[in-house]
Amino acid sequence: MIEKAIFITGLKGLKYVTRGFNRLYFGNEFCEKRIPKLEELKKALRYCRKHKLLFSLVTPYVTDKGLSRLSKLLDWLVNARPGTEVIVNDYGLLNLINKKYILIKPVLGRLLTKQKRDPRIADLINTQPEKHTFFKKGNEYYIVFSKKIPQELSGYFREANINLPVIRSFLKKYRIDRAEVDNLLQGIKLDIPENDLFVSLYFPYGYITTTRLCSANPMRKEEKFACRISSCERSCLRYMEKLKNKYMPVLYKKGNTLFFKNTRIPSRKKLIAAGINRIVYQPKIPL
Amino acid sequence: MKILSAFSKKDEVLPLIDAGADELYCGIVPYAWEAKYSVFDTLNRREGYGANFSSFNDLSAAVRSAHNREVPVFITMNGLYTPGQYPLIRRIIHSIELSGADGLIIADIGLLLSLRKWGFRGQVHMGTGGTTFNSQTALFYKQLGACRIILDRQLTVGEIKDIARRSAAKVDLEVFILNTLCSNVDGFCTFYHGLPVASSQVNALNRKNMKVRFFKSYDPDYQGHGCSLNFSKEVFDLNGKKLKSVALKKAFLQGDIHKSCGVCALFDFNKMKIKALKIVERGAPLESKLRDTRFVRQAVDVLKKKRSLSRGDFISAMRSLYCQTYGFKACSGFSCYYPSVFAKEGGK
Repeated sequence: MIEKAIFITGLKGLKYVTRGFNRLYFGNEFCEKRIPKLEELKKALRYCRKHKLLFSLVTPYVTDKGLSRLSKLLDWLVNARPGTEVIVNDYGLLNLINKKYILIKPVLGRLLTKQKRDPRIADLINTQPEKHTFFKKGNEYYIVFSKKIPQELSGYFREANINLPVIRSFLKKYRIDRAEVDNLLQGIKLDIPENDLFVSLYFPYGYITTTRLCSANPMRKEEKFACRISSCERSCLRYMEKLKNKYMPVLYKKGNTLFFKNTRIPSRKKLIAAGINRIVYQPKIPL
Repeated sequence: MKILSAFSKKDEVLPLIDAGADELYCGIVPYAWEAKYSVFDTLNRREGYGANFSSFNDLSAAVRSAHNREVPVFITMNGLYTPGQYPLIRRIIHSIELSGADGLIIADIGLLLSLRKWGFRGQVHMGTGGTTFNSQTALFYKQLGACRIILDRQLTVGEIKDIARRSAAKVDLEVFILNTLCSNVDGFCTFYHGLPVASSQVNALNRKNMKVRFFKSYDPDYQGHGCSLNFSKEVFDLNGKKLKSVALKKAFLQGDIHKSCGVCALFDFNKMKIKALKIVERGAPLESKLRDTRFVRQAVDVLKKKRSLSRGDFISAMRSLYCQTYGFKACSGFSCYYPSVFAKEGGK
């Protein structure tokens, strides 16, 4: 059976939760300033109890300050809801959970599964370019001959680090039996023995890159020093951007993170073959 | 604080040590890797032979030369590898051990775990690709066998201080001090680096003084790293209403990354017991590497020799030194690694 989860980043997102979902993902992966407050977490959990939904708290990569904010949530969660899943995108948090919150269930987040997500890859490996290019740079002429990608490398850009047995053994030691992956435009290739590790597939947004030098307000002229030291204006709660470049599909930028969108989902047979037993639906860009 | 300088040729070793390097690092792309993967994806996040050794004999000679001056050499193996690559990676690492190099700079947790399993005896430094943003992550990598942690480029001085206070006594910490302040979080950025059209690489593949340069690529349309591409942008509110269009901007704010600098933070780093300062740019010409190393050496020497300098005076001295060294009229701050040195850190 494939579990259906819905991923929202704030309580306003609850309006997207419809019948058919059996789990709520709540939180965010990309910015410690967007870690939910304890009251918000409690409200989300109350909603889940009322609507008979399972719950996963989604957490970002964090500094020591962010770690301390997450600790406050985990201190409460471990007593109020032992066994709750926490999606971890920071090995420091995983370390802490393993030492201090043994009743919390960690899940390896998609920032740590290390897929190759550049949207140009799909064209590169699917179309196998035959042409040669010629251009002038300064006083020199450049001729680039295309070279065919060998068949044996065709899976290379579709893999994730969880294909590596040594990583799966390590995850077991840290009590992790689930990992999260993006639905890559070039397709995914997972080689995981049955029941060795469960996998969740994110749909339709996949992340490409993220930054802490967040030029977050797209309505203002960019400023020196960016957001690192100026006050965060939480523009990610007000704006999103569509980015176009002729070599890529449309990209989506919200706050400090860039995403691609893939609306094609692999067949149920392929999902099951890849060990995927959960789809994480993102009704909006997850930030 | 040790100064860690980059090199890519054996002839660069002694000049860099004379310029003030305490430690050295470099990369190698052996022909066995090149034959299979070309620069399809990178072994160590620097493409081509302009930035890398290709021969283990040359690497061994470089290591011997550095060791004669009691300077350690670390080798970058900081790619993210797939299972099929591990047999070759293991062979490459065995050859690196035979070269006498002192250790590896890595990024992949799979490799960290494998090194322990393979009985690797050298030092292991977890690179910026390991995304260490907090003290627990530093201690986590230490438990798994890393003896030095290279902190993420985008941390503020205050955040580094928090990490150092809780972990510097247990594991060595290294910070970036010069060049290549990426606009994205290095270890979380999944943009394809592939094959940029850089003259150093093309020159390596062609004879000198030729007007026409040839090379082969899996990706002849390659336009550059994703972070350096320009996009046309449309800004929307969250109800989907279009607010504005912007022509050709990079996805994220980016200064002149090749001149990015963090020496003003040395005063604070010294107090935090930071072990090493990294100068980036393995592929830069030697004169540029020497200038950078001398610059950081002068900065560290100011700190050592003029102990009575206040923090403010030290920062002023560093800004002058930067302008003097690189020929700028003023330090703009736009490519500053640690701008929080100058301004109050904020954020809600």
